[in-house]
Amino acid sequence: MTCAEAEQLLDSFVDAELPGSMLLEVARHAGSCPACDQAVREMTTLRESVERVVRRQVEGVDLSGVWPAVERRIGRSGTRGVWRHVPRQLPVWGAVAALAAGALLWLRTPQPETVRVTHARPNQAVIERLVSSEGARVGIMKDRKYGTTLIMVSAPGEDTGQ
Amino acid sequence: MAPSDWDLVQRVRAGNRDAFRELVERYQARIAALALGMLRNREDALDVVQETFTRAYESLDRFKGDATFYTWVYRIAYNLCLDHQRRDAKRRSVPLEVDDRGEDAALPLPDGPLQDLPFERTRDAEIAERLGAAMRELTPEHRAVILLREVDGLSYAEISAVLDCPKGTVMSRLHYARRRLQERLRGLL
Ligand SMILES: [Zn+2]
Repeated sequence: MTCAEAEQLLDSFVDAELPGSMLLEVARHAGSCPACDQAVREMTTLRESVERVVRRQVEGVDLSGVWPAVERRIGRSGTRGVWRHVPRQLPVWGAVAALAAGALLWLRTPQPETVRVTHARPNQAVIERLVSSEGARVGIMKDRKYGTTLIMVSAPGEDTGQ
Repeated sequence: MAPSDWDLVQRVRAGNRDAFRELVERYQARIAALALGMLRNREDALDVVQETFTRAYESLDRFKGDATFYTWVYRIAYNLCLDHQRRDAKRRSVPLEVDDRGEDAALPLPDGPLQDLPFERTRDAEIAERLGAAMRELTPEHRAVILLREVDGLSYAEISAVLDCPKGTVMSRLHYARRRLQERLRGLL
């Protein structure tokens, strides 16, 4: 993979919106290319900053009045009316939630002995690079419940922590 | 185990208002994040949150379960935010002086973070301020994609459902918006 190709896939890569094999290709390239590695880090930092800033703003908002206000409004309108029978479709919550991969975390872990997945939050993709080197073994693990994608890259012969 | 959204929707349909309260409390913070990010005004955002759930309740029979409840609610919220901005723009369309800072330049919040927010670190405050300014420069469509992706972690397919646009459009908007934010935050992150 060339830098130009990796650059083109950068957004989809950090969003874990690529097929597993492509994720691994980009991860392999970034693992051995300082420029693309830097691009991934910058993108990850930006994403974390956006999330942090907006969340902090929301934390400053008092939401305790939302339900009472909604209750008043729906009590006033009273227009929910008669439900038509809607055939129940299979709930897709779990599957969709699992696909809703969020921000990617790219961790530089100099010690390859263990894989630290504690940083992963639900619906986040985590790419964990243990060691970057040519011919590294790469593993991909998807937590179905939380939608966490974990990609592990390790040098030949080293334990991936699985 | 907490009941699924679908279970709660069914209970609301059976007349259980408490079940709707549970849905409201489950998603109000996420809707507030979208509204606050879009409108950058606390009062307006709270109003949109309340109106979103009111509309959701009133039109719950249109929710078929083929989307997730929260993407459906997000869509209501997003459209309300757009309406709000259009109204706001109209109200301000006879300005006393010309402002060339773009479509929503006249929104009441300053560039920076909301005034009374406690930020422990000044660097964080500066990031928040620059980010706020950069977000404000984006169109509502680009801003929404960033918020839905970075804050709510929606997939491209979910964002496409919320914004009612093709997945390719989501991807190009996201790409553009991220580059713009990166340019504006260069040297700070
Ligand atoms: Zn490269």
